[in-house]
Amino acid sequence: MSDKLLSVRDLTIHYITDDGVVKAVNGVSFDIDKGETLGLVGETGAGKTTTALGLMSLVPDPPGKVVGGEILFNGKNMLKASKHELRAFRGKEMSMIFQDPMTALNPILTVGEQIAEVIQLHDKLSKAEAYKKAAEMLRLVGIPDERMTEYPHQFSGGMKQRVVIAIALACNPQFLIADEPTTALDVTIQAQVLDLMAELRKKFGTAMLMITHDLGVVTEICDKVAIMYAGQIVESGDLESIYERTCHPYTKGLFGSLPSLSKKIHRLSPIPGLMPDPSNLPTGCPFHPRCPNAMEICKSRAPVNTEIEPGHFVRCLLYESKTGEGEK
Amino acid sequence: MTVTTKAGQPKKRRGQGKDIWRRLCKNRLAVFGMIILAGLVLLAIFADVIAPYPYDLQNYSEAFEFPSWRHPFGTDNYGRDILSRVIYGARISLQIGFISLSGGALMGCILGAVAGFFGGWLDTVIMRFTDILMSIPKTILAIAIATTLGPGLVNAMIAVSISSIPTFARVVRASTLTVKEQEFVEAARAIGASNARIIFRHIFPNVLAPIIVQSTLGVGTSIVLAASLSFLGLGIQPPTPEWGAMLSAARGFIRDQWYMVFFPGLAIMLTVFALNVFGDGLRDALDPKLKN
Amino acid sequence: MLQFVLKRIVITIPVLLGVTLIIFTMMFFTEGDPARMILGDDALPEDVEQLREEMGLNDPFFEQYIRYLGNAIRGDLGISYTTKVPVTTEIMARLPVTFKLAVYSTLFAICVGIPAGIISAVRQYSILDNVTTVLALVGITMPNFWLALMLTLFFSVYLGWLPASGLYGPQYYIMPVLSISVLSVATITRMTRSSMLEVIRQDYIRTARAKGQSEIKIIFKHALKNALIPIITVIGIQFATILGGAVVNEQVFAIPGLGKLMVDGIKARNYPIVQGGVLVIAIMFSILNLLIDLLYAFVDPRIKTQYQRASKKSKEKVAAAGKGVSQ
Repeated sequence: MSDKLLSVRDLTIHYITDDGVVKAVNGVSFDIDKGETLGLVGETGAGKTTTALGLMSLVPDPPGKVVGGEILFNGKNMLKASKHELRAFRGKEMSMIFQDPMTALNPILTVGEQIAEVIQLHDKLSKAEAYKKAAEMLRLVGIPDERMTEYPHQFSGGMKQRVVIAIALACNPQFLIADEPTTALDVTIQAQVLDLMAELRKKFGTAMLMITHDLGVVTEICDKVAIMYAGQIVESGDLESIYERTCHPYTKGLFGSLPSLSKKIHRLSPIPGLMPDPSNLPTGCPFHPRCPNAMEICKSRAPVNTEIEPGHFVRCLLYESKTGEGEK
Repeated sequence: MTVTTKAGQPKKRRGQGKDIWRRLCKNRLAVFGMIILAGLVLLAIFADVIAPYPYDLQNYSEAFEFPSWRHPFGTDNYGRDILSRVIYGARISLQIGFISLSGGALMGCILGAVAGFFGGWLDTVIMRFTDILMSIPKTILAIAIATTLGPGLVNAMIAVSISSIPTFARVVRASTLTVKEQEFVEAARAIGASNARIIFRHIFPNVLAPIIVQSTLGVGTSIVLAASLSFLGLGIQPPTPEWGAMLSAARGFIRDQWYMVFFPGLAIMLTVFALNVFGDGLRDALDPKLKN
Repeated sequence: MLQFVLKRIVITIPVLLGVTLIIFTMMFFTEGDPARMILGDDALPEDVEQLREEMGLNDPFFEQYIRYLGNAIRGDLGISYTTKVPVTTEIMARLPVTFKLAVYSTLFAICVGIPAGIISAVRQYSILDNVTTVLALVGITMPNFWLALMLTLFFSVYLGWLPASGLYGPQYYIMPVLSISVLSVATITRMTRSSMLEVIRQDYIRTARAKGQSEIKIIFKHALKNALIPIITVIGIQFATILGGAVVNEQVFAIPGLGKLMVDGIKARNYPIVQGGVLVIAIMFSILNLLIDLLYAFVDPRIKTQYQRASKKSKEKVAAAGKGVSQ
């Protein structure tokens, strides 16, 4: 328990809109140790970004609200932290890389200024020293430091994302959230950025939450995986258990819908149906309308987290009966 | 999150009107504006029946009367009932506002659409022309035109019309350019649609929204512009009860007969307020993305 | 950068020429015979005809236009019908007053409008926001000459605090500036509010928060600077409105400025004054627009770099040409 860097318990986040309550995150729990990387996988709309924002206390309020749960970072409940504490925390202990590099940087400030800003906020350095450090960070992410005085619009998408990474890691945070950092980039750049992240992670020992919908990315960079569906984590465990001994029908569906280079498959098998509307979730297990193994009881009873093997959890009624015991 | 439509695609025409109306009615301020406008229009149409006195009935024995039951807005220096004059004024101001605006809007839309759609030297020429018009402040342009043409209702309307052309030309041109670049226009061309068909069936409906919004707000501006002209002695001449002219005439009596100044101006303000609020509501209803 | 400035100046010239053409056309078609206006109604027809020949009033349209243009460039805008004094002299005597009024009104509008808009945006939906929005709405819809009269009624007639006319000291400026600027204050407030609201929603603001930046710094360092561009545009447009408003308000407050000169000229059928005044105002406004365009380049680095790169490229070309190396 003591070297758990981050411990999330039953995090529930709702958006309260004119058209109803959007239940974006419903009872999400996971742990991340120092230096570990957890991959959070799911389709668009599963609630991954909201979870990430919740960790940083950046959920836009209104209309979002953290309705329940706790987030323990180094033992401290961040949901009860004061504004002052949160400001000291963001950027220094935990930072975030966002999905769209094109809009993540302020267009009227130079790249150097934006990196130096986070340094000046947290480390007691003079302006000159902060700029020197900013130049260092730029070099670290593979951008020549002469470009410090240039503006974001003068960089390509991949380079912008590198700048964002530089900003996120400038104060050497213990924890980094990467929200689909490569989705908006093309494949070759994607590989470069992922390599860079892996390298920096090794260098700084940063723990990471990698949010992605790409199972390939997960294998490259993650130690553990959690599969998210309709605001809940339906399966989690280390890489090997999830990939080799997949349990949850949804996870199986995700793997099954991938094309394969080695096997000859005649048709891809996508999961039928669509992600449910978070303001109108199905009763019982949220996946039952699309589940090929759905039983009658799935419509009315919500499954609880079951530990199939050490460290491998599934939230499915199929497995609940197998072990006979559940864990909330 | 819920499935959303891609931004920039044309909205389906069926059922859209109902959606817009519903959104508009949700906005209480806009509804308030609509009611006031409806009231003003009724006043204008039925002025002869509603107004207690004819607007030019002079009665020296009742001149300079303070607001009372018989004359809720008081009387002016000729003994004319101000309430009646204000009511008739609604007819005149609304007429001027709508007619002038329509003229200017029509001209402006045509110019803007042509400039945006065909581009090239036509675009440059038209844009230079609007630049020139826009480098003279609207009020002053109207004054200059009205001076050239001479006083009178029609001339005032022409002056106000011309002053509204540049704004419409700009708005329509900008919209046309945006719509023109979108893929559905390319698609229409790819299936062999003629220019005219593209303009009328594809571009026009999508440009309509900004035109409507600009028109609503523009009527208000036109009314104030016309009132300014009358206030300065151009435009409407006495005894026609145009609100601006009434204000101008009342200036000399401001010391003791404050009501002569207060009510016509209040009428202008109320009208413009209703138009603006309604226009804002319309804008929000037509494009809900803008609201939040 | 200098290239950019020169380019903008060059573009303004045809526009101003167009303005002179429009004004001249209006003059040409205005009713009344200028020669008769100058000599008076009881002048002899032969004298009028002689003056017409001298003034070249029987020449074709374009000849007269070129002459008018030539004169205008040299600063000669004709003679006032009533006072027989050169129009340029009359205008120049009164221009400073109107200019001061316009500048004070603009400054007032900026100093009240922008903070109000920021507060409204940052505290969206609060009571402060609602009050500001309503006030702004009222400000936009109120005809400023009516406000002028109402202010006069209240502060002059009723309370006796402020003078009703003239311009002899600082307190004389208060009511005119208020009524001239009311529309602009409201418009700037609304534009600032909507621009700030849009900017606050942008991703880079979220990035700044994720860095741990304080809300105040976020508003001023990140949000406001980005929101400024449409606000500056609006300020430029409002200057035109203020000029127009000044013209009307000078009547109400009997201020001896360009506006009153023009309006009196209208009443007296003194057309050269009116048209000369319009030209001068158009020139003032075009200069302002030029300055605003230049201001954009300073505020928005995207525009700045566009021109820096252009001038760097041309500098490099020149240097390379000098070295005899082809680029």
